[in-house]
Amino acid sequence: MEHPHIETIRLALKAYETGDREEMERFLAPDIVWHVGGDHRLSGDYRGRDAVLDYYETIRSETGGTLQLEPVSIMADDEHAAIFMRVTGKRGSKKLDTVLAEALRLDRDGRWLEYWALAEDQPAVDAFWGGAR
Amino acid sequence: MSEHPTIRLMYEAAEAFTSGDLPRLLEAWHPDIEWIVPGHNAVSGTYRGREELSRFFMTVQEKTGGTAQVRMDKVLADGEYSCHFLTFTGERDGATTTLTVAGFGKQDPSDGRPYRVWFLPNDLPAMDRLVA
Repeated sequence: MEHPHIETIRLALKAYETGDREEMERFLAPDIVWHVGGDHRLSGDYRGRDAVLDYYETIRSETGGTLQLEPVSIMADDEHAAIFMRVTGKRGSKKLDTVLAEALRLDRDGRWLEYWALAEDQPAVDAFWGGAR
Repeated sequence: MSEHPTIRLMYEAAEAFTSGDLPRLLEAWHPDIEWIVPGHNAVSGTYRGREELSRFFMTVQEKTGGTAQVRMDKVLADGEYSCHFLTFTGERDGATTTLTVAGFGKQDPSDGRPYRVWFLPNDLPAMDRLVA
């Protein structure tokens, strides 16, 4: 039987994809820590819900809303989850098509407490965003 | 429901790392393992095959004076993908560093051995300092 956190994650991804900041907010713990891997100008840590939501808006703005998320695998238990998803998008003349791996630590309500993201082909992601951390 | 073989392998690998059992540790991974280490430190880069991977493990222990330990906290796995959460500790120059690490893997469905692994600690600059 599928863990209920998996459906919560699907709803969160949908909110992200549609740019619904208010809806997305309810999936994030207030003191969330967000680790973005790689060596590009958005790599690093984002602390707190507002910082993470601002990060989302930067991503949406820079890609003109073209980023699409296609989950390949979602796994979860009561405290942890993992998402592997194909991410495609455009930023100016650059195109992205990779599998992004995401790990989540969850609270009892399934809200995201801590998040790690690193692509299977991270150099491609670094080139897409440009710059070094 | 029976346990996914990758879950058992990851717990065994963590035990083998901490006990210094290198042959058992290497056995947990596919012979053609591709192991990708982030950061800007002495072990960053890509290791291919078990022989190169053994060099990674030995360098980590060398940099930490043999104090490096791993506790596997959770492993999630399905047919092709896995994710593990572990706590890594190590000492250098009298200071102890503790990292929470998320690791990602793609495994051979025939026996559950990961053939590609990439991971990210919660504090990459601290990892860089520990294994500089």
